Order: sequence, then structure tokens, then C-alpha cells
Amino acid sequence: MDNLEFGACHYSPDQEQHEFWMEQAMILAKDALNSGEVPVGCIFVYDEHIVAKGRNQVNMKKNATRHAELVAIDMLMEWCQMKNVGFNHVIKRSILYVTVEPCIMCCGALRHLQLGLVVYGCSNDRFGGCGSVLNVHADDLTSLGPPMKCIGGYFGDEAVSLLKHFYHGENPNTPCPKIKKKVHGDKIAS
Amino acid sequence: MAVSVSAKKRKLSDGFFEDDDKDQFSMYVTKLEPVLADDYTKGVQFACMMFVHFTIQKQYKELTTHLPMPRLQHLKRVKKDLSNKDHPLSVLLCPDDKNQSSEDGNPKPCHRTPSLRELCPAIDLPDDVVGGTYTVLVPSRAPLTRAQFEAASAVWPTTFHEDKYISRLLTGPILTCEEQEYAEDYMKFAITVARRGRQLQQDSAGCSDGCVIVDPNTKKLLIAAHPVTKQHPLHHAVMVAIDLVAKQQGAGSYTYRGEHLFIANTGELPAEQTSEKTGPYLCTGYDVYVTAEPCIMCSMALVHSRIRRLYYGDPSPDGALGTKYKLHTQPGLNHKFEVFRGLLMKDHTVSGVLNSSVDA
Repeated sequence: MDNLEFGACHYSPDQEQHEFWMEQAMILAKDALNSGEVPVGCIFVYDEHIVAKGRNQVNMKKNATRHAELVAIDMLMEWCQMKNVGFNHVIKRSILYVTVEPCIMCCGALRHLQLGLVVYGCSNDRFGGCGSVLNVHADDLTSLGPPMKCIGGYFGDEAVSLLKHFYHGENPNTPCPKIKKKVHGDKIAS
Repeated sequence: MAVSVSAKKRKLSDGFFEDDDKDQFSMYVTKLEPVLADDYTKGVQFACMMFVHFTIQKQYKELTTHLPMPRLQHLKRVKKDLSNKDHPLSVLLCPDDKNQSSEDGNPKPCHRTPSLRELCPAIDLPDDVVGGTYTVLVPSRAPLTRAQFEAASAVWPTTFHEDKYISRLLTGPILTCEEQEYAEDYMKFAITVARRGRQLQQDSAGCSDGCVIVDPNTKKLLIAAHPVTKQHPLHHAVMVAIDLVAKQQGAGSYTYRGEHLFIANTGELPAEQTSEKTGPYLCTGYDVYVTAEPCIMCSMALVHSRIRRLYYGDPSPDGALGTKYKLHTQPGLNHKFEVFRGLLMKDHTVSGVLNSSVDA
């Protein structure tokens, strides 16, 4: 199979297949919304199969880093252990389908793991690391290895409308705005 | 002094330090400096302006009403040059868009500068008051620091609204003696945890090998963590520490066995309270101490976690808080925090000692 297009990926889906996988990720984003989390969902596809999935768990875990991508990476590690295959081998040949452009943190994490390809829905103007705020996928970062391939624009409108739905409501875990306590030296130097 | 530090250390660490830890800090020095946005550190930027030679102080007001300069409020309109007997005043008129500033810092006129009458026919001044019009390079941005102000003023009279806090950060001392003593103690804790991590043969693939999280309001050391990258390639010290805070608040995701991680007992935070909106939210307001500059993943994790301030020792080649990026000052992000570097950095004058003792 021609694998030049997606680096180490052995599986090169066409447009229609991209859309099929993105629909699966969208189901997880909706699940996140129903659980009161920022609606982002993702799946890892390896060898034409879904091998891991994740959705936002920030509020549930009280950990701001529990984004869909990092949750799914943990599941992918478990899958590799269960199947007794090398995690590094698998993730280099996997495609991540995620409803929203990965944030700067997740993009750093995915590039660090040398993921084969990211396919995302809408861009992430607030935190995006694949071109919206920073270019973590492509910048010269020797310790993170070669640039990571990213394609956007699959079901972007659906992803945006889920986000709008969420942010029109209230994030139930953010604290009530209160009068800022003045701490000595408490100032942002920027 | 020595007594108070060791007493405090006991209080901070609950017996975490062992006898063999005491001598390991001699190869570290503190040269604290703020990591500010580029706007604070870059030199003067220039813009091309036209000015006119002028005689009488009173009548230049006529110019300012007809030719306002709303985007260059930091510039004084008039520069005095007493050596010019006929026209001792130079008055700024308007941006000179046709001239580009050249690289040697001097304007290079590429067209004839129009006379004042051609520029603004509405201004009616007697000919003997007005001299020729010329082009000059002036500072294009308001100075943010005293150094920028002095450099700008050398070019054209400039106003400066000093930010006292920034000035203190730049001229120092950044911390009081007591604050620095505390900060060094927290960092020593981070260095010690890093050492424990290495003893467990956790490879230090993570960006920094020790991370401590502190609540600056109570001065309580909440969390200390080292990388657990042997178990998970993304479990850098910062990522581990953030999840331990979540664990402290009654949640969290990771499970570890046998690592030298430290979670302070915060008895006043029962699980049912943290689920209400009065409890702590993520790492809001906390200070973080890391042995080296965090990578882009860990830095953004700290933005998401809404920390107040971060201290690190040494810069990292792909570091995101001063070296490759300044993520804590990144425009557009929903949270910013302060960064100081050089807290107990490795003293390279004794690097031979360092290599032999730290890697031991």
C-alpha cells in the first residue's frame, strides 16, 4: 500500500473514510457535552481499526490536562500492553481523528510521541497548537523530533456548534467570579 | 540565620531531607531574573515622521489641533535645539509614509518633503515663523522600561509612564531575603525529589526532573514530583505534579506504586467541599518550582492549570518559557503567569564537581 502520504502510516484512508472516522470521534464529543465537559472527542485508528478513544475529562478528574487526546493516548497504551505490541511502533503508524484542532499541550504531546497523522474538525482559535495560536506541529523543536502532519476541516461546523452549545451554558466547575484578593507581588508581568 | 533555615526546612519537608541530601546543593547558584514578554526586552523600533522647523513656542498649538497624532501619544511634539538660532524648535507634523526607515537608523529621503503649507493648507502662520520640513526617525512604540525610555529619549523627546513593579523586577532585588530563602528551600526540595527519581532509574526524558507546587498564601508545599517516563512517555514531572494536585482535591487520573512522590496532607479539603464552587479550582493561584525550563507540553499544561508563578533553574534547549517560546506571555491565551529563571541553577564554574556528584 502506498504509505508515502502519511509518513509511517500503512493505512491511507480516502476522503470518505476520513469522514467516517470523524463521525466516530463526533459521537465521543457529544458524550463529553452530555457529561458537562468541553465537547471534544477523538479516536486512534491503527491498521484500519479503532484502537483507542477519548473525550474530555477535565471536570471529572479535576485535572486541566485531561483532554480527549491525552485520555485516548492512555487507552492506546493499555491496548498495546494487552495486545503485547510496542506503543512507539503503533502510534507512529496511527491516525488521530479529533473533532477540534489539538491544543498547544496536546500537539506537543502528540509530536513527542511521533504520531503519524492528525485529522481534525474545526480550528482552535483559543489554544490551537497546529497553526491557530502556535505551530507546535511544525516548528523547529529538535527534542520533539520531525514535524507532525495535520489535516483540518472534517465536520468542522458540527464541532463548532457543539462548542457553542457548551459555552452558551456554563462550565459547572469554574468558580464563581469573586473579588480578587491582593497578594503581595501578585501581578502578571506580561 | 542557619538555625532559622534548618528549622524552616524541617517545617517544609516533614523530614523529607536526609543527611546525605544536605551537601548536594553546593553546586547551585541563584541568579534570579524575570522572563518578560519580548516587548519589554527589545530595543527601540522606529517610524518615519515629518517635522517642521519653528520659531515661537506659543504658535505650535495651531499645528497640534490641525495635525493630531493619536497613535504616537508617547512622543512629545516639540524638540528644542538652541544651536539653531533662527528656528530653535522642531515640531512633529505627521507620519511620513513614503519614506521607509533604513537599517542604519537614519531616514533616507526618497522624495521631496512637502512644505507645511502643502501638507496642511488650513494652517495659517506667517512665513517668518515656519522653516523647512524634514524627515526624522522617531521611536514608534511607547517605552515600557527605563532602558527603553532612555534609548528612545536619545532619539526624540518621549514620555514614560513607569510601571514600578516591572522596574523592580528588572533592577532587583526581585524577592526579599525571606522570600528568596523560602523559594530556594522549595527548589531544594525539587532537586531532592529529582535525585530520588533518578535513584529509581526513571530516565530523565522529561523536560525537567523535579517539580514542586506551593500555595503561596499558606506557604504550604503541596506536591513534589519527579518524571515517571519509564511508565508513561508523557509523565514528565510537571504532568505528574498536576495530577497529584487533582488527587489532593479528591480526583486525579494516574496511579503510581513505589515512586518518591510527595503529597501534603491538606486535611481542610474534604472531597465534598471541593466539588462546590468555593473549593480550589485546578492549580489557580499556586506557585510552581521546576529544576529546568519546561517543554511546550508541560508549559501549556500549566497555562491550562492557571498557576500564578513559575520558577526554574536552568534553561532547556526546546524550553517554552523563555528559550523557544514565551508561552506565559503568549497573546490570545486565556491565562498568563509570571516566570522567573535562575533559581538554584547549576553553577557552571564548578561543573566538574556537578557531573561527578549528581550523576553518582
